[in-house]
Amino acid sequence: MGETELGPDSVVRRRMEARVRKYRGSLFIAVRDQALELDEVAQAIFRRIDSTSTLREIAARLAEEYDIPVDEATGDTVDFVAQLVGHGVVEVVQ
Amino acid sequence: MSGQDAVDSATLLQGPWETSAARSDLAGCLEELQLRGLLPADHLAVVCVGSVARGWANDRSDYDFNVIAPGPWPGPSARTVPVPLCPGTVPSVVEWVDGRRWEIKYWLDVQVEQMLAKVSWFQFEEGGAAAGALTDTEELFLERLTTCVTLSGASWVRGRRQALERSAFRAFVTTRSLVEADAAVEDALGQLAAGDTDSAVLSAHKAFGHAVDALLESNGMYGSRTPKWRARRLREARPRLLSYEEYWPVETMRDLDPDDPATWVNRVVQRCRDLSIEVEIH
Repeated sequence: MGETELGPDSVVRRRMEARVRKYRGSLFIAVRDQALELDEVAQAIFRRIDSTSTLREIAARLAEEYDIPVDEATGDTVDFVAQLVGHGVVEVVQ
Repeated sequence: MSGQDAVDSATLLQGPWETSAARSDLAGCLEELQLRGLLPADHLAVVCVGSVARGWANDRSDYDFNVIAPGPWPGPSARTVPVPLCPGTVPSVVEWVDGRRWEIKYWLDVQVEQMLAKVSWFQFEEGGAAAGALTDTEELFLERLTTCVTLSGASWVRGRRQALERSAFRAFVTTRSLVEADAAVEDALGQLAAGDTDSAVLSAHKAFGHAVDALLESNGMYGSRTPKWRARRLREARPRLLSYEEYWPVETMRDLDPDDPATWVNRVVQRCRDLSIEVEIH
């Protein structure tokens, strides 16, 4: 799944193969031999991935929670989710 | 405090699990143990553990006691329980009191120290959680420290409870249950992909049990080695992330559609993954 397929109207879901641990305020995700550590904002995005919300909707909630411009939140969300797709942590539903 | 002093000044320590009903039931136990010659003179503590201590017992429940002393039990034992400690056994005596089975295990203080050392934060950071730090016998002893009713040796119990709270025990058992949940999830997904739906249902059910255990353990409600009490534990813990009303239909598979088991498997596996995101290892 390439990153270019992602956009604000994309919907993604967490892959069942991803193992997650919440330890000392951080979220660690392992898929195959890769491990990622998510910071607070990344966690907020990851938690909102529910197989039904578009990235635009996720970003809107993020913008409200962190009091940042919606456009900025949308761009950051799409960029971050693209990384997750690249690592095999999430996959594009539509 | 000598063992005799401890008996003379015995008071039932009020802890979070030490309900008045449990304390009332146990009021004569220390004296009975002493009358039957089942207490070493130098014992440090005598505690009642298990379902009786938690107030979950029924008419058929055993009474389980742990006696902790600085030296080995000098009396005869019905059996010895092997443990990976030094010394490597725990003597156990079985008595029948008014038709009720009593089992008394005789632990050494040095064995307790060794178990606590196995679950240090250093050991946890070194990756010991994945290998399984404790055997079931050891884990049961430590987790029951948090829920025991103290018949004698309140200061010893208090000190060991504090040491346990400072240790990585909670992190160890939570991680272990998450690892078991992950393994069962992978089994379920593999079986589903292979068309073995019945096996996938069983694996998903197993995964859910482990995920619930992890959630409870993260909240300090231990006991995953005795899954028969899982529903009781959940009712008492009332975790924010999982209501009893959501838990029970999955545990009993009540909401499984026989005509579409794959949907149930996917939903349960997803719920396990969702829970694992929120279960704090600490």
